[in-house]
Amino acid sequence: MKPRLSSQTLKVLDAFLEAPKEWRYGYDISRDTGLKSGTLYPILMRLAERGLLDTSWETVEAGKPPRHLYQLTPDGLQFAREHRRSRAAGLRRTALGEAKG
Amino acid sequence: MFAARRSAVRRLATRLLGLVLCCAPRHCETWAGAMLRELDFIEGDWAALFWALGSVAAIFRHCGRELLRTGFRRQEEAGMKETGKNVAWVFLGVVLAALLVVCAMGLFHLAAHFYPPMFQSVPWPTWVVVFLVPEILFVVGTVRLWRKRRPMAVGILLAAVVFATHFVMHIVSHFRG
Repeated sequence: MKPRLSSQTLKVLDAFLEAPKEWRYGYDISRDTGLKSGTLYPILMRLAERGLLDTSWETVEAGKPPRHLYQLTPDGLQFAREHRRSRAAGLRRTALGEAKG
Repeated sequence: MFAARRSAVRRLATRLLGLVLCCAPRHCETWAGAMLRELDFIEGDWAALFWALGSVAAIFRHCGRELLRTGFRRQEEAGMKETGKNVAWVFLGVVLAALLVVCAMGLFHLAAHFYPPMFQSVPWPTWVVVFLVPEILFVVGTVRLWRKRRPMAVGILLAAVVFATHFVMHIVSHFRG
């Protein structure tokens, strides 16, 4: 059985699915999803703990502080896609039900 | 004025996250550091402050239990280190006092070697050299060190008490005999 995800987690997963191969900054994800740091980072931490998210420090030239980067792992990508598919199927079923009703 | 206030807000945000980074348990350090780095890229000082507050909340929520445990562990470790240091200072005080007594004894034997009649006829020079002078030095040392390095002062005082007891027992047994 799939774990129920919060709408905020689904937003974060969707943000990653928009550019699955790209490494993302925390602040950029926050802006894209509209989530505050207090909501976003616990989600990122949980995803990373479950092996669904890769984290890395940016390599930059001297004098500029590095930033933390995030990218979904292959497992994370699969997980996010499955959730997106099942959500879409759920929405279709709801729409069909409403149309019949 | 306003610019200065705005920068103060950003400074507060940076300090807040910096403080959390310092106290954070190891597995949360990376995350706290990541949130701190993002601060530089947030437009608006108040937004940066709210980012910092949210980040602190996130760290406490995720790492709070571990943070408390690690905090206590660090305190315990600091306490143990402090106890170890104190014991070392007490030990040093005792060793210094013992060295002083040994020096006094050496002085006494040297004086007895050069002028034996004085020590054979009257016992008080012995008492002065071997007991009184070291005891005075112990008391002076204890008083001077009491505020600056109390454990060492305690060590000297301990040695002084032991030495005085030993001396009194020696005198009593001498007069009885």
